[in-house]
Amino acid sequence: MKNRFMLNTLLAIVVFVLLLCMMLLEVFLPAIILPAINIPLIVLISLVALLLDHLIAPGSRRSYVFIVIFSFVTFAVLPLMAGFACVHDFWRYGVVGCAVFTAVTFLFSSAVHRLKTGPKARAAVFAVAVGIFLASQVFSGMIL
Amino acid sequence: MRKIWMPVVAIVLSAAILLCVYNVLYDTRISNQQAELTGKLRELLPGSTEFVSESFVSEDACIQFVYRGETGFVIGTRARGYAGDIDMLIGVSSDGAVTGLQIRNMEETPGLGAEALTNVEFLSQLIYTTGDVAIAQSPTGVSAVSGATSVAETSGGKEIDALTGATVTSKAIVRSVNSAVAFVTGSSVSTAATSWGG
Repeated sequence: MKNRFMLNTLLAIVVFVLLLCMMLLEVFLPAIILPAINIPLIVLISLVALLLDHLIAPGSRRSYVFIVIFSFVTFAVLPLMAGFACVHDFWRYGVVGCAVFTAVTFLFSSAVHRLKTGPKARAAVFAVAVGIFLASQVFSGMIL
Repeated sequence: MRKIWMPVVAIVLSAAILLCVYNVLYDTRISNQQAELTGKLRELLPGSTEFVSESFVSEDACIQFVYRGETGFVIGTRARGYAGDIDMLIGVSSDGAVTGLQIRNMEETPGLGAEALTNVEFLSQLIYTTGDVAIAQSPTGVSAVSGATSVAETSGGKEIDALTGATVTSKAIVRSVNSAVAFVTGSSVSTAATSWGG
C-alpha cells in the first residue's frame, strides 16, 4: 500500500483530531490550560503522523515538494478554522509548521532507512521517534 | 499522482468540520467560559457575589482587566515568565490584602516553572500579603521551596522562597501579585522581584 501521499493525508488527520479534541476541551472544560501550538507540539504531531505512515505503508517514497506544500496548507489552515489562530498567524504557522515537519520527516526517514530489518525494527523505529522528540525539546529550549 | 486527491480531501474535510464545530459550539463556549469565570471570581474574593467589569487606566502593563466586587477587586494580570506569558487572576480585598490567586495560562517548562500551577506551598506564601513581596536572597543565592516552606519577614516588605529551579517563573508571579495589590492600594510597584536573575 505504498503511497507517497499517505504521509500528508495522515498529517491532516492527526492535526484534525488534535485540534478537535482541543476545541471540545476548551468548550466543556474552560478552566483547562491547553498546550501551546509551539515547535515541540508540531514535532510531536509530525512524529505521530510519520509513525502511522511507517505502520501503514512502510518504505513509502517521499516527495518533498508535496510534503512542503501540503504541510504548509495543513498547519496554516486547520488551526485557523479551529479558532486557535488568527489571520495574522496564517503565514507564521504555515511556514514554521512546514519547516519543522519537513525537517522531522527528513531526519526520521533517513534514520529508519538505515535500520536493519527484523523483529526488532518496529521498536527501533519508535526509539528513533522518541529520540527526535527529546532532541527537539532541547533545541527549542536553546533557541527560546 | 492519481492519489493526490487523498491529502486534498483530508485537508478540505478537516477544515470544513473544524469550522462547523467551531461555529456550532461558539455560544456554548462563551457561556461556559463566563460561568467558569464567575465561579472563579467568587472563589478568589470571598464575600463577593456580583462582579462588574471596571474600565481602568494604569501605567503598569501587567494589569489586563479589573473586576470590582463588594469586598474588593479581582485583577487579571499578565507577566513575562521564562518561556512565555503567565496569565493570572488575583483577588485583592479593599484593604489591599491578597485573598486568592490562580494561574490561568502559562507555557513554562514542565517539571520546573510549570510546578507553579499546583505547588500549594509556593502559592500559599502570597495569600494575605499586602504588596512589596520579593524572592528571598540567601547568602549563596536565591532560596528555594522544594518541600518545606520558610518565610522571612523583612522590614517594609515580605520575602518568600522561589520554586526550585524556577526563579524567573517565581519572580513573574510575584511581580503580578505586587502589581495587583499596588493597583488597589495606589502604591508604587516593588521592583525587587522584577529583574531576570536579579
